[in-house]
Amino acid sequence: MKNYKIYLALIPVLSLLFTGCSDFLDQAPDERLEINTLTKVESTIIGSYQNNRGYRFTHFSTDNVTLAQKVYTNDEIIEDLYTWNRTFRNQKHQDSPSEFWTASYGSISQINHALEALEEISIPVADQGKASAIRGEALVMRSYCHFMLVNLFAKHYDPATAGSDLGVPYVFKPETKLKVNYDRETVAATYQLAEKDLLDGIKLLEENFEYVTKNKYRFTFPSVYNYASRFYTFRNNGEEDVAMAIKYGEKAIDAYGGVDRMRKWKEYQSDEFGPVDIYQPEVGMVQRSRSWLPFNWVYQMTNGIRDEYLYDNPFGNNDDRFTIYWIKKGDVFIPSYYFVYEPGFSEASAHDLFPLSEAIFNAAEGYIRQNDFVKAKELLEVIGGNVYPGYNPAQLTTDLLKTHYNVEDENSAWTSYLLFERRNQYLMKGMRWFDLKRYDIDVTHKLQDGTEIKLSEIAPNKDFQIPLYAISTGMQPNK
Amino acid sequence: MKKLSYGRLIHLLNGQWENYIPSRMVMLVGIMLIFNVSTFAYTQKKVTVRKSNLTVEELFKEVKQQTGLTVIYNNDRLNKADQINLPNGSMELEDLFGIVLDGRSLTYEFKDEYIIVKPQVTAVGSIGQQQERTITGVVVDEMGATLPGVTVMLKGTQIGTATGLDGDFQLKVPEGNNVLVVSFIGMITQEIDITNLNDIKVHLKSELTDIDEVVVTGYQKVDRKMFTGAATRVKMDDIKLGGEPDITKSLEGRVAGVSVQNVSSTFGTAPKIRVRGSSSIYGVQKPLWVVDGIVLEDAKEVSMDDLVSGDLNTLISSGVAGLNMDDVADVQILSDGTATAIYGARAMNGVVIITTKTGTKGSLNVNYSTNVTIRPVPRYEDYNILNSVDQMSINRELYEKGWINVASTQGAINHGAYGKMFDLIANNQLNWVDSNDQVNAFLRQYETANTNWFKELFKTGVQQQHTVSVSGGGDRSSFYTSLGYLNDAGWTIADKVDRYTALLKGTFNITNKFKITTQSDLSFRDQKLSGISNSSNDVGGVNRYTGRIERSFDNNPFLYAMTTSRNIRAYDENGDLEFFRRNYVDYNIIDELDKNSLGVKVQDMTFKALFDYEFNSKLSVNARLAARFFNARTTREVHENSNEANAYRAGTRPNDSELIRNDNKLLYERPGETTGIKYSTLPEGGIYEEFNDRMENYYLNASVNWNPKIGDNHSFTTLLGTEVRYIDRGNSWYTGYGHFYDMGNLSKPSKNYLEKLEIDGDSYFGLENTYERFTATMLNAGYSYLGRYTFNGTVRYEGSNRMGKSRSARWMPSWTISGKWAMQEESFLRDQEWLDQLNLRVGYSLTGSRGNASNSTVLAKSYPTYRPFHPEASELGIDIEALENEDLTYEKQYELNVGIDLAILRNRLTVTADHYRRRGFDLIGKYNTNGVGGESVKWGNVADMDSYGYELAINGSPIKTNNFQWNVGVTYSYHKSEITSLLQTDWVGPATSIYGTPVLDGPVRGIYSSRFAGLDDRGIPLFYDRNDEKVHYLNVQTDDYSDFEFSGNLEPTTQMGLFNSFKYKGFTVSALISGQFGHVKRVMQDFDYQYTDGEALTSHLKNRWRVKGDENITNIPAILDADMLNRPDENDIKTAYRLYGMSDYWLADASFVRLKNVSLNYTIPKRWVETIGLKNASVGVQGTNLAILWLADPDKLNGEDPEFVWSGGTTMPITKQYTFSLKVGF
Repeated sequence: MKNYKIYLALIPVLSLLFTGCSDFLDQAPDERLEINTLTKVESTIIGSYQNNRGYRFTHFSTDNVTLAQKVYTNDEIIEDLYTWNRTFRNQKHQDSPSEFWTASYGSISQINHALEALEEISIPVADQGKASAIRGEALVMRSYCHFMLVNLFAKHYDPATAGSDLGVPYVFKPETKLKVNYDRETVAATYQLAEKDLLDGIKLLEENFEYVTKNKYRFTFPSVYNYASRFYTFRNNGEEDVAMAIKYGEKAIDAYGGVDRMRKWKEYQSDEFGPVDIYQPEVGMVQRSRSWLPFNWVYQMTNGIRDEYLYDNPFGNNDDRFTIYWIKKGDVFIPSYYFVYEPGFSEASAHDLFPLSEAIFNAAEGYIRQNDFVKAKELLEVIGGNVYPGYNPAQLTTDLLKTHYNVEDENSAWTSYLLFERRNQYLMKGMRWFDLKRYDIDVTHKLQDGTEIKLSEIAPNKDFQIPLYAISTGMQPNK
Repeated sequence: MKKLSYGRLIHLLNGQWENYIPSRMVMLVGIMLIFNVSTFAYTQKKVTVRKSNLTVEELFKEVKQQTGLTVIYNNDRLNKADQINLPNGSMELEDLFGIVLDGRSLTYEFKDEYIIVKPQVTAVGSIGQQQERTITGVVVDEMGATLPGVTVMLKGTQIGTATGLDGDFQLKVPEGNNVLVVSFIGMITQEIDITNLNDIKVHLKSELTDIDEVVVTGYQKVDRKMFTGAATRVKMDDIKLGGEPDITKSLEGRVAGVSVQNVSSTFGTAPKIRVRGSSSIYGVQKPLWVVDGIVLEDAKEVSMDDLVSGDLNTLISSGVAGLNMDDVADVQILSDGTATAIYGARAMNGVVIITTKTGTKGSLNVNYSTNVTIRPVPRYEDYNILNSVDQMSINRELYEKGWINVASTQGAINHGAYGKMFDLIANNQLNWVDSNDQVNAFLRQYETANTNWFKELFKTGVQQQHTVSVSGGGDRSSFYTSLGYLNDAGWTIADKVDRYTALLKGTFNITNKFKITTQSDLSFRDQKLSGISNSSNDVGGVNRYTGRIERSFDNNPFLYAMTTSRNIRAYDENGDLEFFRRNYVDYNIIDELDKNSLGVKVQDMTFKALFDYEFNSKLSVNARLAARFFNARTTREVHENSNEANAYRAGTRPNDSELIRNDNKLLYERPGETTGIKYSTLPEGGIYEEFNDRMENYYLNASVNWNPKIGDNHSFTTLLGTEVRYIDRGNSWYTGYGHFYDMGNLSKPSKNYLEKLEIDGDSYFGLENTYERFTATMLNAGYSYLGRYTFNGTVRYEGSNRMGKSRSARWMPSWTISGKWAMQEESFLRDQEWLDQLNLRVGYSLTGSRGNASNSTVLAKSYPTYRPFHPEASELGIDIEALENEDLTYEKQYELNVGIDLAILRNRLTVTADHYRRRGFDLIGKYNTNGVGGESVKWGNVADMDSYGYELAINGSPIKTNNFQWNVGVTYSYHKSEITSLLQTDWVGPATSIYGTPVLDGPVRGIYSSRFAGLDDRGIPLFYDRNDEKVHYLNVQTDDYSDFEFSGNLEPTTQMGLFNSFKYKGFTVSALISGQFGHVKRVMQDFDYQYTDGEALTSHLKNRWRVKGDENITNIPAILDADMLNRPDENDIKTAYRLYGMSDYWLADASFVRLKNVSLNYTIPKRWVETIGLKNASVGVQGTNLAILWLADPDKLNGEDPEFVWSGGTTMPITKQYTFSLKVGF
């Protein structure tokens, strides 16, 4: 039949037209990338370093902040931090713990994407060393992010209870589904996993040290060791941890080029970039972050705090750290050089996450814990020498400290001094919060209406509540 | 609106449902038939009869097959179903027709390929001794053209005649017979009472214009009979709004189920258009546009929220801005899933199909049409703004309360009269120490200024459109070409538009089976506007605390007039431009508009080719190919002496105040520099910015149509089709700081600018491409039994790359099943003379939409790391912008549609009603994660939505005589949707703003409000919190809405249109009233605890709280004392004033009824225009947006158009306009 021929002839014509071929649809819809080269893996790790969120907001929760005079500006986020609110009203604020949570897990997700890609790409022999160094950096960064999370959102590591205290989820691979629920590890488990990543990472970096980046916006050798010393200092689980803290503290100091590389505070005045100048050996890892930290808030660091606590050094000396400060409203006291303002932004600034001084403090703290006050003194003298004008190291004696802190016990005297110097050295950098937590120091805050509240009564564990949006997906909240 | 029956009167038996001969052509045939008899070449043709028992329809089809001759006949006189007995064997056509027409008073004539069956005319009968009279008359068509060859019969007799060349006739009528029956093929037969009449004029109406026979789906033309979905077709001429070049705006109130919200009147900006509400929550909500069978892609994908933002990209948001309305023949809206299924996963929001005009065979037609539209200047009387005396009294209060003083004005960013005064005082140019006289005299000149900013900035807008079209054709080809020019000289002193369009269309019948149509649509636009910058805030351009749209530089004349104090003068006492401080430097809007402008140039070209091959009457293949190239260039030209350019150096120029240098946020501070000195990134020169949007779009669709019949009663339609789309979009931009317009366009960027770019990790140029690939196949099948019961089904399978490179996410099947019962074909209704049509339709479908998410694979993008202190340490980072969601899939929707079509009294009254229920699922929404994956809000298929609605369209002609006709049309639609599952809510801030937020158990865009509880005894607003306590503070930085109330839907639920037209001889008067109901609007107001001396304030402030006790009589809050900033409750008070604007007190019911359009047209009688060599001519005048007839909440919306969204930038309000039009045909 003639008609059938026509229909048969149509078949090839039609099959040409019906181009359902899938290659056509494989075109990516936009400029998105596939992480399929070593360079892109490295870029993904570079992308994991947070540039907006830090933990400096804890400043408002510390005893460095009180009710300011003649300043009335308040905001939900400042008030919630100051009153240790268990349910922050603004869960998305840059200075909220919940944003730190999401940003940190965002970094972890970056790392996990990079590590997953690293497994899949084939790496030529010539690039093996570089790939291993990149892998090492990624593991350290993953460790660091989880470490800071567990320290903010869980009870401090207590060897007696860490095996049952709620930690944070430790994440090893990227999410591929819309809804993924996680269980919180114990504090001990979080630390243990972070330790494994840390040590694996250090090993890889040490084996391939020539490929380790020198860019101080990333983990480089001094900051890796410095972080390790912080890790063991914070965990402080027996003598081994103390030894590790000292070991990595010393390693870090070496990597910085020795304690002498620490600069006098006064030198910041003549250096364009002050404490964030990456060409200075004492600088470890610079982070830029946005924070409402130095504004004129009704709850803020004040001249009163300065006069009563910060000036209270055992030597009766002046302190270079407080001689230069920003003019603020009322009695708000914001000294310079703890961070460097970013031009054009009143809320963006950069600071050094891992300065040489921290390695010195960590090592000194280890020696104090070992009751080796001679070595502790050697290290703490370096700090004093750089901040006190006309400093005489001979002044720093156990007796002086005992008298000044009114304690009998040598260890307590040295610990008190160490905490004093750490407090002064890291104002507005968030570090004070962890010291309060580690040494279980209580804080009293005075409110606008004249009442006073105590940290020990509101958050005895000194933990921030995990984000409300995590709780609403079923994650177990803190008490 | 004309959504009626298929014609019962004419059947063109060429076997194709979709072909019909336009009435003009039938007319042509008629003319030739009568007057060209001499040229009539009659060929002997024989027909072989194989079957003795045939219906008329089958027989004529047989004739067509064997002889190629088409029989045209009138079903009134010859029922197609009538049985004919014929002897078997071969017979002459003449003999055959002799048998067929025997005893039916019919005769036949041959003409070319047609055999025309017509009434047997007994010419000038003379019957006995009865008294006779002579009736003369003329028969014309709707356009007034005379109709030759029309049958005029005396009812119930064999007496009759046919009209002559001029449509005239003469008939001798015996006494007592007073009814004439006038009939003509393709026209509606009329009966005319001739009692007491001797000379009559008969207007015959084409039935094809009233009853659209076919539904154009873009892929195919479907006979109405076989079509089971909901579709509405409107003729462009009927709905056209003069002076609105955007076709979308003409649909308002004219089509049931279509909602049009005109958010701006600026040329090129798209209105919000919804067909049956929104099917998606965050995704595309506008319908799919199809022009002449080709899907019209958006050159720029602009989201619904962006549409109201007033940002630069709104200027190219309208996909149809390049279409000349004069080229459009009709618009068809497919609204239910059954109708749109063939478009699959983009048709969930409905389909709008535009068909442009085509050439017709026959004589050459040259048409010229012009519209001149005039827009008057806005008036203060229509708005609620304080005059300069009242304004000055508020300035005085601000001064007394400590807000304005020498110190504060020095560093103030903007100045009004007081600021200017203090500036002079500070510079010792005004003495206020010795006496107050100088100061008072100074202030008085501003107090009395009462500047009329509308008069200064607006002018009577004149827009003209000219279109010349030429069309025609012969046996083998036809063509339509047109050239259009639109010029809008501007409504403000800053804007103007030129648009050129061309349409070239030719149809070529290569053989009688093969047809090619080629078409080119070209348009070019050149537009100028006031200079503005994009909105600057974090969440979609809206300030998340205040819910307002903010931008750094906005010279929108309307916004300026509405927000600038009338104390400020445009000209000083000498008639020179007077400058006041704005952005820290001198500003005069008239001067600035001259130096700071926005330009848009759009080139849009589409080339189309359509191939139709008809193997036989049952089988055909069609293919459509199109290529489109779109290029839009938006430029921002900021002159070196403009306020904006100077603002970048305010504080750094000689004699500039130190205070300004410190406060000016546009200045640049070198990182690490300890001097505190700030630099300008634009120490000299102006700014030149360019944004290029381009699109390359290739499109192919092809289909096979096979429409067989089995036996007499079973007809089938099948369509197998495929579609491929390829779209590349690119956006590139360039920002130049340091451009010298006065120096011959020289560019010289400063070192500071380049340094800042490097430090910020920014660039002065950029490019971003997106790629869209799409393919689909579809099968449509229909079956009809006797035309009574029709079933239809479509299956479609399609894939897109837009959701990412995931094989699982990319495919989407959709389907539909539907049926129709044509009840008038049933025996129990067939004999009902009054009933023309009664159809019952039911359809059920699954359609889909791509949604707005593309994270089916991980979204990793590179960026330069930001190293402000060490640019050299910047590396390329990769950011995981979105995690993989491997389960991502299309948004889907089930829809049940039940409809009824009724036509009675010879289509004098037609009613179409539809009811639909929809269940949307897998809708894409935001999911709040626990954050542990690294992304706190993800996109996924998390939302469901139920909706339902009613649509009703009634068209009627209550009065219809030869000379007078009244047509009335009513459209009504109701749509309600409810989100039944949603996993994330926005912050309270945006949810109280004009953008609104999706609401669980509520609408797609709902709005929230704080609950106003009056003023306290200090004049500060109070609100009810969740416990109904009166408080000043509520938390807006949260997604916990407990302190706020849901206060309504931002999109209207009910649409209404009422159309009336009266036609008397050549005159037509028509009016359209349209209304929207069931929605609310956030009133634009700006109440605060303090004001500045330069802003325009609302006259509500006259009733502000002044003294204790006023809280009992007013709700307008107090201006506070500047000392409030030094009180412990400062934060609460500031929050209270913010909440006031977000409160239910400033939320209005936005329902309105608008007199949308009134028009008067006059068609000049043919005999007059012919004397000057024209074929036809008409003139008209039209007024659009004439008045708001009713406003639900006139107190709150005083001076605010309920449709207009006040966001500054590129937006302009909806305006009254008057259009004069002229059309002539040669």
